[in-house]
Parts: sequence; C-alpha cells; structure tokens
Amino acid sequence: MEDIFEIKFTFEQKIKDNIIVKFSNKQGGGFNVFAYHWQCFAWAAVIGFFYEQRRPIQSPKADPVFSLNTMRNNNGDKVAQALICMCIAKAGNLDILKEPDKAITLINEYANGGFYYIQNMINNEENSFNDLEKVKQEIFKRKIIEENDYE
Amino acid sequence: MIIKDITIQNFQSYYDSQTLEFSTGLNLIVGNGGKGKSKLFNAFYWVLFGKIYITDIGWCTTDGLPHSAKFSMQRHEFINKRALFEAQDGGDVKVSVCIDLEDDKGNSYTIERKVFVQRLNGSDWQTDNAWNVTNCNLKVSHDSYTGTKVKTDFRATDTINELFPEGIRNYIWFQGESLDSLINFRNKETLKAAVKHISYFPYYEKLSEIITKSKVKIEKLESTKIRDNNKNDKNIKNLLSTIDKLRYDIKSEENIKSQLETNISKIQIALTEDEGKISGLANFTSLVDEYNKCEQKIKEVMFELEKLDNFQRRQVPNLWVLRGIKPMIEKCKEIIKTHTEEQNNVPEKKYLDEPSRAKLEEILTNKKCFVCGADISEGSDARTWILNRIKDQENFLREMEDYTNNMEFSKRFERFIGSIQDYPNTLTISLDSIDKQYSDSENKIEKLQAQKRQHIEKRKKLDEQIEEIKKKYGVNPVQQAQQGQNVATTIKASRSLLVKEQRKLSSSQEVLAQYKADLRVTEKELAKIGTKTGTITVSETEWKNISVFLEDICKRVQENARKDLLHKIEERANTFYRKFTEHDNGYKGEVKIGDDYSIEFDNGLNTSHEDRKKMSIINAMLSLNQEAIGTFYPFISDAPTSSFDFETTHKYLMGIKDIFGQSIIMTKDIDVKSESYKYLARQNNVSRIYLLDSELYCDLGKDPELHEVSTKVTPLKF
Repeated sequence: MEDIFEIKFTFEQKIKDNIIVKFSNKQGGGFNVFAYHWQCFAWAAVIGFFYEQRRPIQSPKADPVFSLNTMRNNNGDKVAQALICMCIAKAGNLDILKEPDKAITLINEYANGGFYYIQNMINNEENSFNDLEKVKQEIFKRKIIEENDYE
Repeated sequence: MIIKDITIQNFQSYYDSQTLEFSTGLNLIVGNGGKGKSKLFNAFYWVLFGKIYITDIGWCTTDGLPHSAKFSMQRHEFINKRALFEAQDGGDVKVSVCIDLEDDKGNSYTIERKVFVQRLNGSDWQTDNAWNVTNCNLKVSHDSYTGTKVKTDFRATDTINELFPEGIRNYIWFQGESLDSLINFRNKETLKAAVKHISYFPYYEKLSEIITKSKVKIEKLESTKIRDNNKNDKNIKNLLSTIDKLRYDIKSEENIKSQLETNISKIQIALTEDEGKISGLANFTSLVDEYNKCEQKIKEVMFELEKLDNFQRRQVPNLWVLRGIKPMIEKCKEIIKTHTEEQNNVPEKKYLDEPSRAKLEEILTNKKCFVCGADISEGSDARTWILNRIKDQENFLREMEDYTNNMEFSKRFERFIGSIQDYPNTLTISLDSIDKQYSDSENKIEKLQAQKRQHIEKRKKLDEQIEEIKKKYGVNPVQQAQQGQNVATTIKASRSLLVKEQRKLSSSQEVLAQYKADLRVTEKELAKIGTKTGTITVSETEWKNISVFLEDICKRVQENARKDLLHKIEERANTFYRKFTEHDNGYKGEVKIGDDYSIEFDNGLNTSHEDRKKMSIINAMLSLNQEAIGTFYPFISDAPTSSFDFETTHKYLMGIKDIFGQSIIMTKDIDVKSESYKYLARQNNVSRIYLLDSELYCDLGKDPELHEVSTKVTPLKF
C-alpha cells in the first residue's frame, strides 16, 4: 500500500499561473495571503468539497511539487487531516484509502473544481479588495450547513 | 500708465494667437488651477523682462534654460505643446507676446518679444534634442516728436527699464507666492526696503547726502584758504591742523559708530527671532507633549493593527480556510466509527464457526436438532434461522480468509485507520473556534481603526496649530523642541555680544561728543583770533555756514518726512485692511507701524489676517507712491489672494478696484455663479472680466494628452 502522505498533488498549469502564483509566495514569506503554494491548493480543495465542485484535471499539468507530508512538515497538519477526512466523507467509506492514488485523485479533482470556482469569483469581482480581503470574504460568506442537513 | 492689450502666441498653455484687452479699473481673470492664469502672468513678465516664474525657483530667463541639472526645464518647454506637436520636420514655430501700453503722457508703446523654434529633421517631437530655439528677440515701438521710433535689443531693454524701474517691479508685478519675502513681520528690513523701492522718500536721502558731501568739500577749501592767508601765524596754523584732525577723527568715529549701530541692529533682529523661537517653544510644551502622545498612540494602534493583521494572515491558511467543513468531518467520523466497531466485533463473530457447517447441514438433513431435538422441518422458523446462520458463517469465513490472505496489507491498513481515527475529533474542536476568532479579531480591528481615525483627526488639528505657530514664531515646536537648548545658548551669546557692542557704542558716542566739543572749542578759539586779526574769514566760510544750516534742515525734514510717510502708510493700510476685513466678525486687530519700520506682530491673528495686512501695506505704499510721484503703474498680480476664502477675496477685489488706476488680477477664488460675483461684475470700476478654461483637442470624455489641451479665453465682461 502506497503512502498517501507521499503522493504529490496534481493541478493544471493554467491554474498555477492564474491563481496559485497570484495568491501565494513561491518559497514562503509574509507578503501574500498564502506563504506556500500548497496553502492555496488546500483553500481550493476546501471550496471544491464545500460547494461540491468536482472537476477532472485537464492537461497541461503543472509539475507536482507538494504532498500531504509537505503540509504536515510546514505547520499544515490540520489542513492535511481535513483533506483526508473530507476525502473519506465524499467517498462514503474507508475503502478509498486502500488505494491512496485514488484518494489523492479525488482530492485533486475537488481542488480543481475549487480553483475554477475561485477563477469565477475573480472574474466576477466588482470591488477591488486586496487579496486577503477576497479570501476572507469567500471564507466567511460560506453558508454553514447544519449537520442534520448534510448528506 | 495703462496696459491696453496683450497678444499671446504659442506661449506656454496659449495655443495659436489670443488677445486680451484691458481698460482702466479692475481687470479680472478668473480660472481654476491649471487653466492658464500663471501662464498669462508669465506672458506679461516675459514680454518685458524675458523671464518666467517657476515655483520654488523664482524668475528664470528663458534664454538661459536649463538653469541647473536639478531643475532641467529645457529651452523649448515654455512653448505651447500643441504648436510643437503640429510642427513638421524642419518647420518653424513662432512664439511671441506683444503688449500695447500708454504712458501717463499719452504716448503709445508696442512691446514685442519673440523666439523661433525649429523642429530638427527626423526627431521625436517630445525629445530634448528635437528643437533648435533662437534667443529672444525684443522690439519696442513708440511715439515720438519725429514719428514712430523702433528700438531693439539693449536699447529696447533700456526703454522698458525707464517705463518700469527695477526696484518697483516686484511690488507692481506681484506673485502671490512671494508675499512673505516682500513683507515679513519679523524683519523690519523688508518694510525699509519696500519704502525705499516704492516711495518718494529716497529723494530726501539723496538730497541730504549731496548737501553733506558738499559741506565736507567746502570745509576743506575753507581750511586751505585760511591756512594760505596765515602762513606765518603759527598759532592759527596749529588751530587749523587741530580742526582738520578733529574733523577727520569725527568722520572716522562716525563710521565706527554707524558700523556699531548696524551690528547692534543685526544682533537685535537675531535676538528677537531667537527669543520668539524660545517663547514659542516654551509656550507650546503642552502642545508638544500632546502631539507626541498622539503620535505614540497612533504608533500603538498601528502596532496592534499589524499584530491582528499578522494573526489573520496566519489563521487564514492554517485554519480559517477549513471553515464550514464540519459536517463532512462529522460524516468521516461516523464512517471511521462504523469501521472500527466492525473490526472490534470480529472476535464475537467467531461463534459463527460453531457448530460447524457439516453439523448444520446434518440438522437440515435430519430435520431435527441433535442437541435439543427440536423440529427443523421445511417452513419452520428454526429451519430459516439455520439457513441464515449458514450464510453468515460463509461471509465470516470468507472475510477471515481474505484477512488471512492479505494479513500484511490489512494490518497496515488498520494501523493507518488507527492513526487517523482521532482526526475528526481534533479538527472539530479547532473548527468550532474559527467564527469566534474571526469575529473577535474583526471587532478589534474595527475598534482600532476608529481609534486610529480619531487620533489622526486629532493630529491633523494639532498640525494646523503647529502650522500657525510656525508662521507666528518662525519655529516648529514639535520638530525643534530638542533644539531649545541650542537656541538658548545662541541667545545667551547674542545678549553678551549685544552688551559688548552697546558698551563700544556708548564709548564711541562719548568719544564723538568729546571730539565735537573739542572742535567747537578750537573753532571758537580760531574765531576769537580771527575777530582780532580778520584773517580767518574767506569766501567759502559763508558757503560752509549755509551748507551746515541746510544739512541740519534737510536731516530734520528727512526724518519728519520719513515718520510722516510711515504714519501715512499705516493710516492708508488700515483703511484697506478695514475694507478687506469688513465681513469678518471676529478679532481683526489693526496695522501698526513703528517709526523704526517695525510692523507690530499680532499673536491673536491667523495667516489670512496676516496676509491681508501685508497686502494692505503693499497697496498703501503703491498708492501713496503713485500719488507722490505722479506716475501710475498698472498693478498686475497672480494669485494675490491664495490664502483667502471666497468672501475675503471678494472684499479684497472690491477694495482694490478703486486703489489703482489699472489693476489686472488673476485669481481662482471666485465662483462666477455666485451672487457676490454678479455684484462685483456690476461695479463701474470693474471693467473687464475673462474666464480661463481648457480647450480640448481630443474626443469628449477621453483624458487629453499633453498636446491636446490648451487655454481658452472667454470674455465675461468687456
């Protein structure tokens, strides 16, 4: 069984160019919303899972550089845990974890859906906020679904 | 003198050729910022003196551009951009300003200054080296008894200098920005210079000087002749030598005394300035404290805001992005729980293996339980139970077989599940805190922003107070608070120096008094001998007596005239000042001028009042000057009222329209739709009004390029 934490995530090259680079610093640092590319990926994945936006990845793809371990090693333990949990919730059982590739692909596809959602948000953005405000706005306007309603 | 018109061609913002005509009385040019008022003022000054006014630099000749590396305005840059843009390769652009004026005797003058600029082949019109600009060409044509005379170059310049003497230019061609350098309340030399430049008083000074110089020469002649007449009289010769020596000593001592008086005056000015600074600094320690506290609070708020911003920037990617996923986490938790329960139940299922499948099949075949003997016939509940039991047993055995077959994988998988089974619980606790963290930090940010706004507002008010103090005391209490000790040291040194110089002066005065007394005694002694011998009276003696008498009278008249002039300036300045402050209900004070040219500085007044006082004094001097010497100059001013509000500007213009034979005022502080403008425009002495606006050469709504905008002149009253 392959180690799910070591498998690198995949995303489209244009997503990297248009969104990830825009919101994140390349090597970490304090000038942008996200210090690392993987943080932007996680944001998109949460959006994809939350809004049920799953979308297969098109070529050309960007060079894969980070995995769940990258997250865990850079103070992103909770984010890595959350991605696994959401993957399980969407799959409906734990069997998906028996094939880690499939689990990571599922996360990739939801993240891809999330990225397209973000792109749409950028395209429709009428007010010009700084990027942190945009991200905060997206996060805190999410309509929280009551536990009982979620199925 | 009146200026009849000005024609401007391709000069600065004026494209092509435009003419503005003027009459006696007030000629008003109204326009918002950047519409061409200062460029019009420049055109007046350029045609006469070849210079344009550049903010922070002053008056610069266009022939000398660029003046410095720091200020690198190129030679073609005072030429209209549209005219340059339209020039063909190798083509010329003519730039000219021409004014027609009439002096007080009715003689007409036409003054034209022009340059030509050629576009060099193949160059980009916007580059510095695209243009070849000729030097200014000046031409003055005027009436004379023999017909029209035309003068060029330096002869033309001479004529202009005769028409507008240099000393008076800065006061009649008046740039609002330079008001402080013309009249400064803290430096009485400025008023002294202004009086010298623009009043008839200097004529007295010249007269007095001529008489004093003549007296000295006559005294020398007299002394030589008396000496000649008394070659053999040792006594008279000695007395004459003593008199000559005493006169020489008196002259030398007077020079020393005058130098000491100048020094003392300089020290006193410096002391007044420094004491003003110290008193400013001392009076405003509480203001400085308040300002520093305000600055400190702003810093603290900014620090807190930065901390909160950093907190949010950390929380967004690490936790807040996960907001809203709790239901998914709960579902995951359920899935893991179910799985774990199943795993935990595996040992219990082992009972399914007992009795064995062979035994169960035997019961079915015998239709009877081998233990209790119960009936297991077809259709009975017991038979159905046995059949289900066989099925469960099969599943269990299969699972067991799978598990055993993939023992390694299964163990690893279960270990993995074991390692993630606490994820949901940990995450749930964190997720529950997101909204509170966010709302708490946002509330704090909001409160801090409100505090920041309050502090900034307070600082703005303090800045205004500081600005006022700077103008009144010449000191910035906040920036110079630390320099107080230095100023105190300087004051101490100045006071000590002042005492020394005053001691020297008083000793010089004593020496001088002694010399004069000795001179009187010696002269009396000589006169006594002369009465006896009749040899010390020569023809120059009477001249000398007359010149002594005249010198005395002239000095007294000059001093009286000086005081009288200052009183008249004060009186007339107050008349203007009252007009300019008519609508003002608050404390206004009044213009007070001392006999020593000092202008009383009033702490209770603001900048606008100060500027109105300065304008009143300048206008008073100009009008008195015009009356005294019978020459009337047009008063031309750009933004004289820049520190005034609309109401004050209105009053200023209502006042100025009657002061000068002709005034040409450029201002932005008039609303042409207002009632006060309509009232002003109806006045008889307001002869012409022009409105300056932008002429655009591009599509409507589009931001114009540099070459697509120029000045448009619209006559409102003509």
